Amino acid sequence: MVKEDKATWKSNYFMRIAQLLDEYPKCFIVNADNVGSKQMQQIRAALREAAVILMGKNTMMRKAIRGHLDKNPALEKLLPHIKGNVGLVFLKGELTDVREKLLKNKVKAPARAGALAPVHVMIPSQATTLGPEKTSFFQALQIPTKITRGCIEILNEVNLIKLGDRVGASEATLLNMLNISPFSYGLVIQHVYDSGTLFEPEILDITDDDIRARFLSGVRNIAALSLAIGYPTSASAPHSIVNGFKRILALAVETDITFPEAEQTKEYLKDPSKFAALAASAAPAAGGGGAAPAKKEEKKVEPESEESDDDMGFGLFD
Amino acid sequence: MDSSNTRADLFHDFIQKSELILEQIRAGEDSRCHHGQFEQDEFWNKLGVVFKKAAHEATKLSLVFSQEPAPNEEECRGVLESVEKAMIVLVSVYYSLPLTQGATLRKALQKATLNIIEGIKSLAETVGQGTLGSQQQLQTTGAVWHETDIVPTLPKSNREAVLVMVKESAALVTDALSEVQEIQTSGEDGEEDDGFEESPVLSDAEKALLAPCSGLIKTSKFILKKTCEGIISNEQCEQAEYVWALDHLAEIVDRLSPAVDDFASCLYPPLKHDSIRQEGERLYQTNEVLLTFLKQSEIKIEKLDPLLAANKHNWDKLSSSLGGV
Repeated sequence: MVKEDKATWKSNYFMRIAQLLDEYPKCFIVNADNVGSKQMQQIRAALREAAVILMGKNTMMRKAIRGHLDKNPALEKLLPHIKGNVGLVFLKGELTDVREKLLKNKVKAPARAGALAPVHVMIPSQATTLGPEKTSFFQALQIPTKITRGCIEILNEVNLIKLGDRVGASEATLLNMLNISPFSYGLVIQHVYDSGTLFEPEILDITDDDIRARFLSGVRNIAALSLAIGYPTSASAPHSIVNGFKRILALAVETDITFPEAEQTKEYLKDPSKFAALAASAAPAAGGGGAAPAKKEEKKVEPESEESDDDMGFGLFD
Repeated sequence: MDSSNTRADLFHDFIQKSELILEQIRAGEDSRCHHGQFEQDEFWNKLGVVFKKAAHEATKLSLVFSQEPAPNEEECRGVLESVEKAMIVLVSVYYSLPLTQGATLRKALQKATLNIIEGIKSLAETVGQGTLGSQQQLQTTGAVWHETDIVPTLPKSNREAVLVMVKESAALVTDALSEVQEIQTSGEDGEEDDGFEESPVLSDAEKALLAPCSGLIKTSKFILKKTCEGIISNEQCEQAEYVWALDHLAEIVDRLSPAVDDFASCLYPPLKHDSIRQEGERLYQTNEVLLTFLKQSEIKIEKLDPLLAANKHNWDKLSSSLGGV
């Protein structure tokens, strides 16, 4: 990148930020810790056409954003997050596509002393090319070794650095000697801004299942409340019916009264061995599936039970 | 009329109503009088419930439009009506926080309420476009959840709200200070950093000017640090008579980070002495106003005199350096 002259650099920088804020409705706030300038160039090249990266001076970015609040007050949400080693990745297209490109552009990096380990660092058992004079490094880190054909051999796999620990000087030197680059660094998305809304990057991974699960948890609350206060709703009706059926079944089991749906249960209680034999013969044929109906039947004979594990997941109430 | 057209009309109406609600909240205070004692626990419980309700209604809206067949006009109307009701209840609970509880707390709650309604409006806009269950729809639903799930982290008193604000401001001022310190040492390692937007390096004469500038920003940083400590240690700040003082404090603190950033921005080339003087003076005065206020206010913060002296010293040094160049 060619450096601009002193006189125009600052005004150009402000103009550029203002233009990006005007032009792009979405951006990522990314952290650039441990990302070198060469890697940065690679990322810029990979994102060309898809996004524009703005790194640089936080104070100037904040000043430019504040100057833009009249036009777009929602940008205020960005301000508290423009601190530390951050940058903005502006884009117009799909957020997930650009995130994918950012993830692809991580590069392996050697462990530097003082860095926080983002992963566990394992050293596999191996024959190294290091001479016996380096044994002291391994001893200091309590790594069992032996000398084989004039070189150090690591006897067991060792967990040298645990996730979240700070890399010590000895660990860093050893990893460099073994030519191991255990970490991979890239731009890490901290926040996502999309047309006035700021949120965590995890939200990009929400699926239909999450929506359904969240909805069902609300329905369960309604069902619980309805059952507790005795006010029937469509959410509580299945539970009320199941609970009613359980009581009728309990009566049928205890008395001579019967009805078709209770007959199987009553028969089972009369002679469980008959069903056990049936289940045993069904099990090899149906594999694991054969155990399920038997289990269901077992549940039916416990009318006092507070729980029924039906498909809707509503069975927590009585 | 085509049913998809009618649905589009329903969404259009809903979005317009949401915009009206947003405008009303942004415009500021309502004229409602708050009678009786304010029950803090009851208020926050109620708020938690209405936030949850808003999240649930947003989820419902997203779910019914997640796959074919899309709901018919009547169902669509029903769903949108219940989302609208949830928004109205939310706004009503927001307004039930009396102004006497503090303007800063009120502002924090206003922001949270606005964020939820903006999120719901975006969701309705996405759903209204007719692409059932799109990625954008999932994201906007998640964004509403993000805003509704923050109840536990919301400040529950004016003291907490002011503390959050001071801490936020302190983080930005500290960041600006480290940036100015970087300018002071820039070019010393001789590295060409061609992947980042690098500023041109200052000359040694220009760098000499930065010491009092950095001193002024450092003073701001320490004032905010002292302020934080003062608010944390002074539990009396929870009392009603401190509300005004805390709000006044928040008002001054709110000016500090912009003043620091504007000043720091002047310290990149080309250095213009007029701008440095003007922004430097603005920062010096903001520091001075804040320190004077803290000295006189009921929020007891000790050992402010050294900070007053440091502020004056750095400003005097800067103005004499500027005068001499």
